[in-house]
Amino acid sequence: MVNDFALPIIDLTLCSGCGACAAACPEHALMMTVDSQQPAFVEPYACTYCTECEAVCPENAIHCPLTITWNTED
Amino acid sequence: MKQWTAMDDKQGLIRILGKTAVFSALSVQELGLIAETSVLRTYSPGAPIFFQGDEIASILVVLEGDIAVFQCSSDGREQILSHLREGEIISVVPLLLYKNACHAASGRAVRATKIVSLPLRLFDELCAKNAAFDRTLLRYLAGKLEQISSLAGSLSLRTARSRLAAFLIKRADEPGQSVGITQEEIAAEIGTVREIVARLLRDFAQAGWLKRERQNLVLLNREALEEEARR
Ligand code: SF4
Ligand code: SF4
Repeated sequence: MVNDFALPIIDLTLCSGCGACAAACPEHALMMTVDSQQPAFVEPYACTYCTECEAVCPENAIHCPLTITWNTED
Repeated sequence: MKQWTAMDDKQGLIRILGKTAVFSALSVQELGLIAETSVLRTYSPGAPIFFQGDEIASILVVLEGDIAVFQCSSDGREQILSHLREGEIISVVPLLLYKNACHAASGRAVRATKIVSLPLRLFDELCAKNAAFDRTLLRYLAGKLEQISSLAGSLSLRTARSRLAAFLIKRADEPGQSVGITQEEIAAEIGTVREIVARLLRDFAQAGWLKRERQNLVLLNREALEEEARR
């Protein structure tokens, strides 16, 4: 496994600052910053990678890529 | 890993093209002609490479990387039609069918991608002079036709659930995935929408066929997934 604790990838150049991702985040891991009105991970370790933020972003600015592998533990 | 450093590395280009299914039918001299007249282009992941409707101005051959070829519906939904990898020719069907042909779909780099562009005139000359090249081109076209028929059959006859199971198996069987794939991208690959992919992944997890570990989707039951893929 390359990275065991990935976070959603946010492309701020596409972000319109609508706040939908922060409102949808069930863990409050993602919030809008007061000064720049852009999403930021205020509690990164609370993020469960549920991909809700990706689902609601109207600008397609959030990506939660998945790797798909076979189980190797037995 | 393959080394391809600069356009002045003509020998490198001859070596790479000489190993591909289509261009292996060319002589070293003919490959040399390609190397003399071609231009190398590099694209980073996500970069657009060609657009549906644009005129095909030169022959574009993939040297390395991965290009997703797609069309968009009127509501903006993407359907991936195929992936072009090493040695493949971009928009080969319209190219051979029409004069002043246009790209029938758009293409974007999935990984870092290198393509070489060669003059249309040279390609026509090689087709006219080298019968073995024509035959490999014909075989390549037949392969493309089979791929398109299989996609059409899959989209019209199989359910999204079955197509997702088949996609997961194929993806997990691919060695060394260097980039992840989003649920939106999976939807474009199998001809559905993100919401359906998300729901089906939850269903598969509930059935015990896979488990989600953050960004890792771990497949647990090949037999069940293969049976679903055959439905
Ligand atoms: S993936 Fe889920 S938990 Fe993580 S930031 Fe997005 S909405 Fe919040
Ligand atoms: S939902 Fe998308 S566009 Fe809106 S604030 Fe979040 S990242 Fe920006």
